[in-house]
Amino acid sequence: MKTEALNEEENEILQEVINIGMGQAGASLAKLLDVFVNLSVPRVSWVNGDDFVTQVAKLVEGQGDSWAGVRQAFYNQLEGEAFAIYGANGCQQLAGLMGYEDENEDGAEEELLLDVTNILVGACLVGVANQISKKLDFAAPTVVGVGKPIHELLYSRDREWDQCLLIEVNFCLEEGDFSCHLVMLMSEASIEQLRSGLVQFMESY
Amino acid sequence: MTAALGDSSLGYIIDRVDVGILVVSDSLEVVLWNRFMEANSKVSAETIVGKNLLESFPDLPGKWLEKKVKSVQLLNNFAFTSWQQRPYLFHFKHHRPITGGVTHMYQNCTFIPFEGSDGESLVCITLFDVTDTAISHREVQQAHADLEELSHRDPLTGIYNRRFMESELDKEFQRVSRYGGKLSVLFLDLDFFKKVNDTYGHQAGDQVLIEVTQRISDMVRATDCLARYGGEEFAIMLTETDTSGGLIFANRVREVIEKTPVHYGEHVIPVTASLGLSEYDEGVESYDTLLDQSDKALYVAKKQGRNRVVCYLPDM
Amino acid sequence: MSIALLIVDDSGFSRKAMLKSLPESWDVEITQATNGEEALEALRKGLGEVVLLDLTMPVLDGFGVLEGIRDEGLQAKVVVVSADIQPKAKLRVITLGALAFLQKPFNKESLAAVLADCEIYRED
Repeated sequence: MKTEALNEEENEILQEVINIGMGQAGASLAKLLDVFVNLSVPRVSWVNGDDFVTQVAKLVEGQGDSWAGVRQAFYNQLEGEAFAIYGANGCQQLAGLMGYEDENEDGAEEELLLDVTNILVGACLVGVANQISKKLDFAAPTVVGVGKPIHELLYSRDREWDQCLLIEVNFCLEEGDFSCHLVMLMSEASIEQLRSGLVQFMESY
Repeated sequence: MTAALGDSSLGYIIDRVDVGILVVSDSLEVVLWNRFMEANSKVSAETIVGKNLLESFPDLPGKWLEKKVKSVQLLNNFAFTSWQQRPYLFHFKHHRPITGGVTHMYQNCTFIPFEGSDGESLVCITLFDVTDTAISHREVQQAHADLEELSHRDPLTGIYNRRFMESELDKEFQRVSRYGGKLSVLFLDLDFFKKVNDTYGHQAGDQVLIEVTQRISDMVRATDCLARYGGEEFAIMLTETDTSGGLIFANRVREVIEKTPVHYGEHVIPVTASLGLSEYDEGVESYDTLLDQSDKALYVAKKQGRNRVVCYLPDM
Repeated sequence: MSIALLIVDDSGFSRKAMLKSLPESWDVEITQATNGEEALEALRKGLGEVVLLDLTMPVLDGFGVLEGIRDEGLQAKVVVVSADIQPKAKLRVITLGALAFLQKPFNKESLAAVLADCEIYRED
């Protein structure tokens, strides 16, 4: 593995900044679904872009063999791609909460995944970007696959992103658990931006 | 955005940009309706501004739209819709009347919440015409499916190839070893096929392969899998079949091949086949073993004088 | 006499940030805890007259600490400092006996204002 993109202290700040971002994401989800969301501490780690597929596969090992994946690109001062990976059960529970059950249209479940991803990725990354004073914009999310084994969702191809940030979040709803893995792939330039932002954030205290 | 341009210039750009732009209030009253929307909906801005969007377009997914507008305002976050899940928001005609083969314009939409000059909460909806993308996506998908199907097939006979058959056998093997059930594998090799090629030529040989394949194809069930394994060698996966069932089937195949010579030009080419059969039982560890056993039985059938069926025995 | 202040947060950075943001003139004896269990132990030893409490933590979360304080009848003035900004979360901590809720990210000013509001400490 390559040298860590950030040092220990920077990682600690990042963890907290993401914590705050996830707090905002959780609040958005709670507002949208009108439920109380129990947040857990998000686990944050860096993996090398080259073996991110193996790393992510390891992370979800033994948690089922059917996954849904959505990706969403982000750009501006931070740029990269976010992947949200959902287990099979979570999607169905959400569908009920989101009030999609009465629609019964083709694509309704996928649309739900897109909405939830957009909210989680948006709230989390905007939360992070705001704290470190960076501009951020989003492209529309797209479904990579539904009901697939993990390696099919994260098939390897030529990547521009060298480092990837792995964020594992769990949201426990009163109606049952719903967990989601968020993976953020970022360019070297973005990691530099991230670093400078984190240093500034730290100095603000 | 730094607006070095005046309001009227910006207004002009918003009106003329090749993207649908509309702005609605929280009660879905239309505030802005640009030229793209006018041209495609045939409803002018003068008619619709100030009116309720759903009343003017009763075909819109009203409940969904209300929920969407409410949620982007509530969360103060952009939202997106994609043609892949929701082909269109507004039912517009597309602009590919000749090559399209589609009945409407595919649209990607973005919902942007913002605050109006009087502090009212508004949502800007943008509509992108992505019909071209949708059509080429569909063509690529179709090409993919065609290619995948082709990659499973033997080009000469049109039946499955070895790779596909083995992957099917692997799946079936996993199934019976987990849940129980019967499974047999039959190997078939045409006797003295080299002589057919040498005597009548390769085209005649190809004709023999095609016709024999056709005859076997007519006999296998939909759940079986017939594949050309190599030159003149075939493999048949027989689902829910034990040795006695497999033997009956194998002998029928052998008889049909023997009794129906292949006509090639003025030649009548007699054909026979040797077959090796093996059945899954609990001791068999992988589908490879099953293939290997059938191959051994086939070898014995050849040694015993050809044109016969031999079942695998452990001492082979 | 100095006040026993307990800072509870699993994030080292967050604890450091709280330490740096405390009013300079405030005379406090500081104890730090990284999860709810540690916090309750410190509270039982009387090390937390005032508590700055995070909510989302491993082992035992902030809600659990507030319940523990209530159930064991411990005396503590608790200010919750959290990224969990759901209105229901705020309501829950207040119902459980917290004096105030301070949203992360916070700064010197917002912390001082909350301390003053709760009449815990007012800078001159």
